[in-house]
Amino acid sequence: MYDTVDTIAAIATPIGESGIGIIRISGRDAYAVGDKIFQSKSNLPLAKRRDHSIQYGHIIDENGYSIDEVLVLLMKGPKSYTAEDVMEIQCHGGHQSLEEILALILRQGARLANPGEFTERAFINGRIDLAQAEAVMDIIQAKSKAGLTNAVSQLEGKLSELVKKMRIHLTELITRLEVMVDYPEEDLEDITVPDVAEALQNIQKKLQILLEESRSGKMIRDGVMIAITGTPNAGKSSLLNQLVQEDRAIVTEIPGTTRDSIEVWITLKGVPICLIDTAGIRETADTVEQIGVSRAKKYLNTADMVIVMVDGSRSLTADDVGILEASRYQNAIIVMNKEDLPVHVNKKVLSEYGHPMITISAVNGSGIQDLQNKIIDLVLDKGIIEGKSALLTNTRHIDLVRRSGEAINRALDTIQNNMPVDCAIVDIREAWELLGSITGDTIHDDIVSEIFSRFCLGK
Amino acid sequence: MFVVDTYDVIIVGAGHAGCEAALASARLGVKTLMATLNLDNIALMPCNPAVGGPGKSHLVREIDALGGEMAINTDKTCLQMRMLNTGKGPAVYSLRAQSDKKLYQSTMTKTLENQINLDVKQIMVTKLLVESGKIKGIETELGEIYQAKCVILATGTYLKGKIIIGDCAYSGGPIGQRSAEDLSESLLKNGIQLMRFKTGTPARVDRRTLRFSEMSEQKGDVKGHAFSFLSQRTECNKQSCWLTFTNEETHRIIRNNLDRAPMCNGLIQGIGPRYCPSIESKIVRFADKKRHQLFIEPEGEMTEEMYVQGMSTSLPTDVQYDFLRTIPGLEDVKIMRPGYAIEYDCLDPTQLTLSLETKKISGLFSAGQSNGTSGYEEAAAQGLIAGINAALKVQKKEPFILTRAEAYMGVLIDDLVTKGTNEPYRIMTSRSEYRLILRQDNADLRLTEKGYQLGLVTQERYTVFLKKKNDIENAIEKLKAISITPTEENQKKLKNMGTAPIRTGLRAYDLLRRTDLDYEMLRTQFPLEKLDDDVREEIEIMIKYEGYIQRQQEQVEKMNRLERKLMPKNIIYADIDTLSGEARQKLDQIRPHSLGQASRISGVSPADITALLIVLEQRQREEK
Repeated sequence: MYDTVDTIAAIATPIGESGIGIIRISGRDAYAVGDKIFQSKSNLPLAKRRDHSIQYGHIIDENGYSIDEVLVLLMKGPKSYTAEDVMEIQCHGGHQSLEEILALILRQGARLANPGEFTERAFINGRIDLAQAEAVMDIIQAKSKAGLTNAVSQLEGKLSELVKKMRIHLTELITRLEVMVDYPEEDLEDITVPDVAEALQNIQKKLQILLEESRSGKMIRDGVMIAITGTPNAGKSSLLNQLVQEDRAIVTEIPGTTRDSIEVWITLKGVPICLIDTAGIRETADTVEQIGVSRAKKYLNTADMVIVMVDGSRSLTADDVGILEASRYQNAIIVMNKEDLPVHVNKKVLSEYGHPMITISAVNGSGIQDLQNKIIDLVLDKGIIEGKSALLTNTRHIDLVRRSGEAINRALDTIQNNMPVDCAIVDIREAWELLGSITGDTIHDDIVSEIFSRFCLGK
Repeated sequence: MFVVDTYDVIIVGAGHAGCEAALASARLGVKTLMATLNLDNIALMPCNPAVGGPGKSHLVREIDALGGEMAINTDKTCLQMRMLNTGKGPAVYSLRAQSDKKLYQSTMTKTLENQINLDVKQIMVTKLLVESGKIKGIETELGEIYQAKCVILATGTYLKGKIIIGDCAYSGGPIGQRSAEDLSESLLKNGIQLMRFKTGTPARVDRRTLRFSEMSEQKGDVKGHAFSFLSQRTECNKQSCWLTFTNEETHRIIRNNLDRAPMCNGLIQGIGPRYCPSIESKIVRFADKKRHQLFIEPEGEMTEEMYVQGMSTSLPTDVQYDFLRTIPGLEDVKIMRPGYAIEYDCLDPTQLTLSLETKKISGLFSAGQSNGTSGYEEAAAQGLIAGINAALKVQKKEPFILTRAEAYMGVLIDDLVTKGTNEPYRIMTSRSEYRLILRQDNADLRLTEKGYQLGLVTQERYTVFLKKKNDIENAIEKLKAISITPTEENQKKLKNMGTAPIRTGLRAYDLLRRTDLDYEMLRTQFPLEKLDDDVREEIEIMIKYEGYIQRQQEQVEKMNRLERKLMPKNIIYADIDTLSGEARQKLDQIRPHSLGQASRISGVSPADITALLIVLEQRQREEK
């Protein structure tokens, strides 16, 4: 449904373009949502604090954990960009931090803004004129078009297929419930409470799986984090340079976003990729070997994929093995460097880790093309996403799937609390509509048509 | 030319739409004529002898809340009443009455004939008088002229009506009446587009030839019910319905004779309703179904005719006899009137505005089955709205429009004029997106104030309404004021009622939320007043379903933002190049009242709505 009342939120800064990220919340409940997630010394509700002020504090999730240290800007309507109550959160620009905060905000009751929606509201509320609005919208549209690569649209096609299937199940369920209500005297088999509960639980399970896998899917739209690990002198920096040289469209290089690494953004075949160079880490007094292993382990937990670099011109060291062991159960590519030199490494040992292996020379660039292809293969449906649907590539879809899951949960609660079926239908229909807005079809007539085609009714 | 008389409003037709339209118009104080082609058949029920059911009972209650007649007339003439769907939630409770057909007609006729400002006449209307896009009156088959400021078409299935039984077809209305042969031409000449629909009805049989021992009896509820908020709830159980089933033999006979069915032999071209199929199409479409149920319903106390609900057919009478006699209880059946199909002309309702006025001819309204609907209740609801709006137009007042969030009437009319229909349209509760709000119990709370403002609700009804509203508020306050602490004494009271003990103190109001408690149970343990049935039911629903109702209320508020943005009357959609081609064409055809209505037109996307929003804002700024 088209909506101009609810509170919307979105990341206002482009990915990877700055060390600071901004999340904007606008609408009637902007401060109510803010109060739920922002903690600072002052206990005053945000709405009571001084207009156009900057507040220092932390973003706290539902479990009381601090996600990030932030500055919050308060701009009360109508003196704000959208002329509504606006709150802007300045946090660390690292992708994860921004995403986590946004996800938290959405869970607390805001809706993800559509592309250009802040501008649209600014216009509707009389803040800017049409020419200004159009100019902004043009930029937004151009951007989102460019973002739609083949890889992304391929996956979205699969997503709508899956969502359509789920909607068919829901339509069936709704139809069976509605027909009972609208034709109470027909000679039809009544659907029982356990039937409804089972059907809802099935859908719920599917939505849950979709959500759990959403992280790997989201990489494609929002960037895949790849950590390059390996012992010193394995050639990490050279590889990074090679990958970067290949790609003229580097966004920027930002030090310090995750506080101890260098992130470099590139795009491979339209998929944004964030390369994390562990070589950029300042070395400490600890022994280098230990640092190499512990860093690798750290990135293994946070990155979507790991490139383990080994120097092919020498035998594996204990540190190499340590890193390889740590990557055993991760999405990893083993890159054997220094192809140009005589090979001394034991390939058989390497192959036991079960990761794809690529031989390159980071010095003369041979094998780089193969590596790029392998990365994309893994990102698409062969490697990383193998066995998973990984279809939720954008935050809007994730938000919709999450909300329909919540609606299904409420419906389950309703029937388990012995409330009448009519009350459950409210939420089942909501879930059905939310899923429909992923595929773009939310038509009420579907249900009525379905009733007539499936059941024999009438006087 | 003989000008007989001049009226403010003329209603063509005296079926369920015509009656409500005529009464509403006259009650609003304008000079009204109701023209019917047969004075003996006012408020005829040509199909089943029943009023109400899911969605339909909601409409009847709404008609009543606004000061219409259908509910009162049904209460006065019922043979039995049942409340359906009681286990499925308060929003879908549905009252259904079996009516005494003849009594229903004569009771309504008397009301009409005694209505101030209303004349009722037997007239065959053959022509509309239109001058430069405005209605001026009607011409009769005798060449007489009646002048009028507004005309409401409520022609039901009579426009070029054609009756079909087997291979026999003839022009006519239902139950041996005349059809209106010439009016269609006049409409077409004036640029109104017509569709051809079909519906059907089963045989009426002789009660004395039925074996009731072979069928199961269906009595009305012992508990008293009433459609009207003004009627007393008294038990009504004068006659029973009887349930029986078809079997494989019935189906075999029908299958063997399909080639003789008008739907197969090409005699029927009109589009029939999917929800009211003939028995022959049920057997074709649901071939694997082993049996179909049917109800034998009484037609009235002064007749032995009975209605075979579920067996609508237009097969030849020899086949009708054959298959009916395979059914338990109908072995010796004698048919009094055979089942038949009827084809008729009706208006494509997308030519109407939400006030049910045609966009093409100012002052011409249309209501009921002639707008492509089906059902007495749907017809009556439209009749009431058309009658109100014709009178308001005469009085130069703004039209009266109910939204989808206010009434099933709003859903019905919005669906019709926004989306059109390609088969006779029936209301269903699943057509409403705000079902928990549009309940039949609160139709008065939703609408009576509006009816009073219009001048249609009498002082008597308004007083009853105010008292109920007041009683509800007081009862809720009282429940909130009683706090129950977890003392030994209170826990014992809870135990007496068979409900779980409490851990912390709460109000009687909160306790009533429990699914295993109701107000009467609470009253046995706590000092609560005795309440009228309707007040008690209302507060129980309001409290028990509060969370759900509130959520729907929020959905309504969201949608209202778009509903409140009205489209300028002079907007030229073709000039808005940010709209898609399809949207431009559809918007121009429907000419929506509000942005909300625009968003429901098929082919108008959310992007188109954004574009419209921007255009509206621009225009507003220019005006400033």
